[in-house]
Amino acid sequence: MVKKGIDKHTDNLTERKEPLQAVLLADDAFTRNQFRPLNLDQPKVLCPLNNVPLIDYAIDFLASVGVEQVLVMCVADAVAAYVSHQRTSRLTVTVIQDPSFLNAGDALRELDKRSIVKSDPFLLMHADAVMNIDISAAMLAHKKRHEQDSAAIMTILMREKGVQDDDLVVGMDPKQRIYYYDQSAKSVRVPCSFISTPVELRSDLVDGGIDICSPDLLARFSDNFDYGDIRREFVTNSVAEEEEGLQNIIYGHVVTEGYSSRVTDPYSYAQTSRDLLKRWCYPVVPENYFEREFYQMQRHYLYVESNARIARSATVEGPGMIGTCTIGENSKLTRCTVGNYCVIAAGAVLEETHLWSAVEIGPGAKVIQSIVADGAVIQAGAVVHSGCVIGAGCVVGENVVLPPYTRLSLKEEKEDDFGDGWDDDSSNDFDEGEDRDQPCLDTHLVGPDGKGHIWKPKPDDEEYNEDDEGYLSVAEKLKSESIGYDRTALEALRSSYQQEPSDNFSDMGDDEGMPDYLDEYSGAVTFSADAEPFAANNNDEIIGRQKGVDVIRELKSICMEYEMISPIENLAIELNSFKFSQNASYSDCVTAATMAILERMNITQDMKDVKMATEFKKALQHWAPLLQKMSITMEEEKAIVLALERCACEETEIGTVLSSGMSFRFLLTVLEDEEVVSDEAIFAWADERQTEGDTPRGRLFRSKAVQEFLEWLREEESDDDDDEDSEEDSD
Amino acid sequence: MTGLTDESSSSEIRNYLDVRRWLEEHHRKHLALLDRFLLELRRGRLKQVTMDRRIVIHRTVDFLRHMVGSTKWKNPAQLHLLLRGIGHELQTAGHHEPSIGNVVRRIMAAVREEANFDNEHTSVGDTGGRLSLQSMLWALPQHVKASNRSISVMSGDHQRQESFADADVVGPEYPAYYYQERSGLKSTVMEAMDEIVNELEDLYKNINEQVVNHIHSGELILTSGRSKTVELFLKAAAAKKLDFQVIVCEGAPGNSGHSMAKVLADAGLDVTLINDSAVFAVMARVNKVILPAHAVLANGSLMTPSGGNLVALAAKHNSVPVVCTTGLFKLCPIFPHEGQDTMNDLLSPSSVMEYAEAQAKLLEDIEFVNPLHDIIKPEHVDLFITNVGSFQPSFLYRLLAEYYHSDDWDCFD
Repeated sequence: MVKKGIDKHTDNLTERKEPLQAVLLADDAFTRNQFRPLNLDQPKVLCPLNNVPLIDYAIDFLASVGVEQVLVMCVADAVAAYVSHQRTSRLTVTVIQDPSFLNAGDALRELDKRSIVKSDPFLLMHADAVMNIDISAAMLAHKKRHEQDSAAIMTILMREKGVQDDDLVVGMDPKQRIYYYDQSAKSVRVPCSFISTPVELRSDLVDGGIDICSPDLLARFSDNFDYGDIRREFVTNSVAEEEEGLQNIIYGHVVTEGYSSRVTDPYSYAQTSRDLLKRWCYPVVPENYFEREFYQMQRHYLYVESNARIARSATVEGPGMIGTCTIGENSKLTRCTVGNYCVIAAGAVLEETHLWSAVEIGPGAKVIQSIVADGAVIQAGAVVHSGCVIGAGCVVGENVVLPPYTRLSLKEEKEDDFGDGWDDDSSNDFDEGEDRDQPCLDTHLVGPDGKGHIWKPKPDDEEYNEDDEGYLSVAEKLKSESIGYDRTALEALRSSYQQEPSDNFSDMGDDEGMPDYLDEYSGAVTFSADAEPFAANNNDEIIGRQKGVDVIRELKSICMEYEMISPIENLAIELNSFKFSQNASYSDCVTAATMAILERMNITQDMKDVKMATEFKKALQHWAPLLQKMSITMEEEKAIVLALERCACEETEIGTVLSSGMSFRFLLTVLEDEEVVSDEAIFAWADERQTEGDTPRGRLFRSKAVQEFLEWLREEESDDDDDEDSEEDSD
Repeated sequence: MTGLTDESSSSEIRNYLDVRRWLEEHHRKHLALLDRFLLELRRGRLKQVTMDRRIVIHRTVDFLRHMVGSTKWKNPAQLHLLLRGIGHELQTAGHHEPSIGNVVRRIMAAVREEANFDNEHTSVGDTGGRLSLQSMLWALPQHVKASNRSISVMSGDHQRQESFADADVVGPEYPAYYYQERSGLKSTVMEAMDEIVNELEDLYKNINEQVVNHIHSGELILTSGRSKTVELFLKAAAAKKLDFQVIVCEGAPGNSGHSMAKVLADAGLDVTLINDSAVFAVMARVNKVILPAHAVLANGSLMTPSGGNLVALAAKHNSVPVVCTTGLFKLCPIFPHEGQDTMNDLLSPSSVMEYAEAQAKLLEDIEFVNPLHDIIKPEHVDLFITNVGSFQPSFLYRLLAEYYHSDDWDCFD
């Protein structure tokens, strides 16, 4: 009986033929980069979390779930060197290093090129994730789904967190297929046109940072060379894809047990550190991992290395961790983690502070809620207030008082570019009178014997310029990512921000202070964002389109690059394919084409109206087939007129030329003559403009030339009507 | 007599901490195997597989069979060092599985026995691991160290440090005959392993044979938490057409008692599930308490899943007999010097408190402690029902001497 049980157990382990592989994204380029300036010295994944490099947690986790080969994708030499010197007998580590990786998409495309990912499924993990979740159930479920439907190429592991917030909103059907995924949701719009099942929107999930994928995923990245970020670009787009056959079906797997966290900024760093000490991630606990050091657990979650020298009169309070270091007399450590080779002098006071290795704290110094990186020195009597980050090698001079939320570093950002833009909205007092000529040492701040300068994000830094957190100033955002920041204030701010009605679209969840998003929507019209043409206004988001892509501009540039010698059909194909990829409409295409034609004509001030008309006619002879082909309905023809009007109303040279004199009328005439635009389309446009006020468009419409043209056109029309049917009166 | 010379040192194990290097040089595959096994232990994966602890022993024996069967050790001393080294690693990684160390110790004892076999030195002084109470007490670590010290004190501080260093690095000196190659050694060790496996096969049968002596019709039996041994014991009683009632404590926060109650009820027993705090209230009616064992310690203490001590104390108050059903592979030559902290482990607080709730500002400074085990003092346990018979706690030291060699008791620390 026992035998039987054992055989069954071993069967399960040996059943898999292909050894399980995992791809570990181990570089700052692959994740959001909120860990600076700490990762200017060394990549984030090598930063110690409770005295163990972050990447070790990920590798250890992968080993424990039975992964046999880990492909570590990295850019930095340091990561490659560290990983390859690891003891590797528990699993094979293959390092794939390429300085040309700019984002996760690049790394996955490289993997596809090398075709070394064989196991189906394989795991895709971010190296800054710390977790103890049992993923075997998720893997089984993924395998089953992938066998039934080869388009189900990805399963995202998510953990229920028990509270609602809007960091992540996921829409899933009862089978946990994801239809909506947004990490920066201010308002939620779900395309219901292709959803036939009820979709549950959940905001109580946290993304674990680990996916179960089939190797096809890599090919998808190769097909779409512009996919960079996995979550923000690939997942968000894939789940919104409406057309059958083009879909990458992505499932979620929600777990309720286990611990999962990502280390993204100092705040989450401190949080994860404390959770690990408090054993939330059991069995990943300090006395149990990595067999390199030997920590012994004392009461109140205090872990002490057996070689640590702690003075008798020192008070050390848990939860905390003391590596091989020296702690002086009468010093007081409250909830600190202290790395190896640190020296803490007598009478120092440390509270909720993380010291990395070889940090020196002078006598009587005080450090509160800060991170002090490798080799930094806090000299005697200095005070470091909460939320500070002291980069590697920095020195805080004697008796210096460092204001809260200061981030010091010795290293410069790669492009040394300090603009003023950021300072203006900064409410911190530390940058007053900052000396710009000496960016390397802010001696007034760190003291004459100090080293280091203030780090702050560059004005064009994308991490701090995203409109999704628009209600926070950059300085405020930076603070919110620091240790010791009270996030309840942030939540209040956020919800007050959301109370303001933003636009006509249905803002969910926050209108009447609705506590949750857990309403079910069938394919009803409530939130249908049917992707109808947005002729000129491209600020609106369209489902299936990459965020921030100006479709018309892109289409126009395609038209501009087109060379007249090749047949116009080629251009049509190009426009068509782009249209499909971004879920654009024919109206967008013809608008772009019309604008391109005008731009290619090189219109200048001194060009005669008549000459312009002839030029336009000549151009149209070449372009007309394209425009006609794309004009499926009157809607597109109207779009051509609108495009013309749009050019005429622009504050550019072309605009002024077109809106003056007879030129606009001539161009309209040409369009009508060449049968690119039908009379009906022009009338429809005219009807729309009747009510237009005193805007450039209104003025243009009411200009004499245009009115004359319309009148003439109406007569023409009625003449035709008279000819065909004399009984009917013209209007 | 080969001894350990400098030339041969690279190909031989110098001490038990040297095993890793030795494996790396000669048996890389075995080292990988060891690492994988360690990882499983460290991650507690074996724990999740099943409630049946015997699986762990089976895995360990299979693993050791592989390690011993196909590595190039030359003599009993080498094999003993190898086992000690592996045991040390396993103990460090799987400290919450004390029975693993026991298996290794038993095999080490077999090695010693074989080495001592038909050696004339055996009869002189050494009783072949079978000791009297007096000699055992004198063999306890504190006495050994004290005697070492008393010798070294004579030649001052310098010598004392040396003797400690020796104890740390060099390991036990083996008698000379340990360095002789022995042809029958491997087969003897394999036999010892087979014996362990066979013992496991018959474990429940042997324990359950005694059921009629302990459970009688009309009795009310109380147990706590989930245990395969207790479950089968109660089922065996039911199979004997005994008519009795069972009360199961739920064993919060793990609530393993829930599944226990379910399997017993499915088997047709009359089961009542109570919460742990109700133990004292119902204890007055209970005829007997049956507890499972995580480990049985050298002084007769019993390690149970947490909640067991509460039950035992309530039983003591009401003079209800407490018996423990266990296989002898759980008998450890370890003393509970650290009280409740001995070999204990603190689990994730998630079963006590939801993570999200614990993050609230007010609860930030509150500790949520979720210990895995309880240690019950020997005077609170009346009887151990094992696969080799029933024993009182005060008798367990004798069994220790039967299974392990006294020199191997604390060899993994």
